[in-house]
Amino acid sequence: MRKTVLIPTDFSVESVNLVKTALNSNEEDSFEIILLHGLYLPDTMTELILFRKKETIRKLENAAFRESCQLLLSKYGKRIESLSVDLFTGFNQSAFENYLEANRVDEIYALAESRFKGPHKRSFDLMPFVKNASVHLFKIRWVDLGKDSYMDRNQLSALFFGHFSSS
Amino acid sequence: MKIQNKIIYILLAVFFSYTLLFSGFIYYSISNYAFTDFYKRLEIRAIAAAKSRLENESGGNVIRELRQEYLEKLPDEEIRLFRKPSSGHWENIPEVALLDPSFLEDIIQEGTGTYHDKKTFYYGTFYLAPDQTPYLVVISAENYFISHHIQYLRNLLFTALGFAFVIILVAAYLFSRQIIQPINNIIVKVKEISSENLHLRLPGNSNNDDTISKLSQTFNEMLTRLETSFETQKNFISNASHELNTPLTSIIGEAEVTLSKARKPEEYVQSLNTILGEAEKLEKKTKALLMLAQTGFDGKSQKFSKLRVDQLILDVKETVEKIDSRSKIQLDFSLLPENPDLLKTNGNEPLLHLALSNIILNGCKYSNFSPVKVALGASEDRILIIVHDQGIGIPTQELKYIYDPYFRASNTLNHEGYGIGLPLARNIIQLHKGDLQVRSVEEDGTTVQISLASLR
Repeated sequence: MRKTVLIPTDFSVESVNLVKTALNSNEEDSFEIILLHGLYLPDTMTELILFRKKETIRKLENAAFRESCQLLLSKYGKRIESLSVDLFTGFNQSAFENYLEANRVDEIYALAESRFKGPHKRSFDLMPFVKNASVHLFKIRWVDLGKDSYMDRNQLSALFFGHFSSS
Repeated sequence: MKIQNKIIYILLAVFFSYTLLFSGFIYYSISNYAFTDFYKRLEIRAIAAAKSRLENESGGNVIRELRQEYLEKLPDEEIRLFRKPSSGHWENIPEVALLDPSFLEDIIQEGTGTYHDKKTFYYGTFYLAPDQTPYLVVISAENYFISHHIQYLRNLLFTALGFAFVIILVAAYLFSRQIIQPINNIIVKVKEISSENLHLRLPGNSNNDDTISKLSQTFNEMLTRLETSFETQKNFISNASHELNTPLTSIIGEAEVTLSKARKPEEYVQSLNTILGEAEKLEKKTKALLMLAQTGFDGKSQKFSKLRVDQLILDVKETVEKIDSRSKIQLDFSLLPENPDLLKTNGNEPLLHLALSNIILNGCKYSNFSPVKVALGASEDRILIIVHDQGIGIPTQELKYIYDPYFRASNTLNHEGYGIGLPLARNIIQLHKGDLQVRSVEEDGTTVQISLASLR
């Protein structure tokens, strides 16, 4: 079966780790994965005219994020139909619902204890929308076997040693 | 000869001879032009003068007017007309006889002739008067251009040559210094590096492609190789002195205690068993350590070949457990790629083995043998190895010194060590064009991230 999974991201490796969890929890399915980041559109006219989605995403991504996506692709290449990064620019719940419907999202995976840290000054946390979303929601709790080291959440090691359980 | 002087001389010779040739050519062609031009002017004047004097009234008047109007008088201009003597020999006229004989001969033979002494130029030709009497016309005038202007030009060219020489000299000096300076810098830096401080490197802008940066890069690579082989030996000695002492001490202690008095056979058997156990451990350790040290000694050491990193990690795990049986290593292969080719890299197996086992052994040692996690993953072109321990960590302000040989962090006093392992590991990774990053939080743990280029 093919599923479309949405994962809110703040471009940290930790959020990419959710992809791994999603893939591990459904061994047979193949996935279309959307990593979604909340970003308000710029306020000024010139910035709005010069706003390019792809360019903005490229600037927001960091090397560790990109590399961790690559790692996942080389591991799960056959089961990942597509892995895309997208921006959500809406203001309210119904915009979010629309987005879910338009992209035919089947499941959302998110961290229960979100430690959102916006990489951009107009970034915002999608969690409030995710919590009230109508789609069947899988919440993921972050359980690290070792000490919970905040320093590593944006490093590649976060992709390996973090352990999740679905709740 | 110093290479700088050599460059200066070569540049000077090339550019100065070029300038010399250039000004010589100008001088020659200008003066050549001045000669032909002046003879032409003389010719016109000679003909006009002869015409005006010998032609009949009306024609002569027109020409005289034209001459006065448009032909300016040359300095020292003098026109002489000689009627052909009845004897037919021009030399019979005394004034003609005073002229230069070859000049006269030229006129007689070819109809016109030119001649000049220092300042005065002569032009001679025949003119047939209307009554069919041949006249000899000789005009002489001072060539003002040759006598004054050409001298000025000569002076000008010489001054310009002098200036050019100075400019070329300065330019050549600056240029040669520009060329030589980086090489001199390298020489100064290289002189500072001896076997005592092999960890020093030449400052090189890595992205630059010019010869000088390539030179320092090549030199740095050579230093890395050299340092690696030095350190491999030091590493063996430090490991050996550390790891071999413990079992030896217990063997000796056990034997001494047993021999201190006569004992029952069972006791001898028991103590011999203990000794045997320790000796076997010792043998294992020695073998493992020797294997690690091999790289420095078997002549064909630094050869690169294809190897699989997952196999390497499994081998390293075995070695580490042999060297210190208390080590606990958890492998995380959850992100092994589907395509095993991604795990292949080009490297020197013993060296990589040494580097990895050093890092993992460090992890075990400084975390008091709590589990060390080793993870492996591969992206399209990089292979990633992550070693994570929950040990004592490294104080943040000391992180920048961890690659200095013999440096030991301030919180390592309770642990034996010599500060050789990590610099060695980094050198080995650098030899493989890889990248080693260490992140650490004191009292929390250390993460070492190694990335190697995969084969494709």
